[in-house]
Amino acid sequence: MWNDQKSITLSLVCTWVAIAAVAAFAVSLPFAPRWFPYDDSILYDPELVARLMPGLYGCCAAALAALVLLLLLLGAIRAGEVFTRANVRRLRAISWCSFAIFAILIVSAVLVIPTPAMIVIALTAGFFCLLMRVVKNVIDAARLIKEENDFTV
Amino acid sequence: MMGIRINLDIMMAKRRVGAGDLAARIGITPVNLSILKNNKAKAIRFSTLEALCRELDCQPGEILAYEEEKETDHE
Repeated sequence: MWNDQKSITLSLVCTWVAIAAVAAFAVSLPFAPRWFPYDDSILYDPELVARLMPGLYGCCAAALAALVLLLLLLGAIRAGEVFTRANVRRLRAISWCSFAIFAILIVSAVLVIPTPAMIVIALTAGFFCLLMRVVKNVIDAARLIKEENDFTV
Repeated sequence: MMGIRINLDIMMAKRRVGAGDLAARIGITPVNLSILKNNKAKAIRFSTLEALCRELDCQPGEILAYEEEKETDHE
């Protein structure tokens, strides 16, 4: 029977899979240019690839940070601590990680590979940042209501 | 800091009622009574206030007092 605990376990497993995927992507990044679905002439340019790498590694670092925070958040939810200051801080940090990815990708899109695909990926990260901020605001408001409720005698 | 002060400990001392006994009589947990006594509560239900007044034989004004909020320096 499906229940809340199994749902959290599924989320944890997905997060671990995502961490493994990001780590594998980061490790294989120097050998990856051939995998990119772009025109070979762009990504086989060693100078261009070299300019793109720091940005991609920055994105990997921000993504890993966000995923670790997500693990902590899921751990807290599993422990029954949902509307807490710590979770609000974690959501805020995840939002900033998404913003970092957005900023890195938008700069890369403008300076290194000015393609619509890069801009779309950057905007997706920006949209995710916005979503996380709103979720953070909702959890913070719920925390205040819970706090008031807990201290109503 | 505190706008409304709860003088529950004074009333309890006057009536010589223990915290555990009072909590049981008004139907709240000792932890919640402690929150109330230590001015940590953010709100009080009318039903709780009514039970307190009934058990301590007093008026709400004897339990609750308004205190001028202290100014905090913002330098």
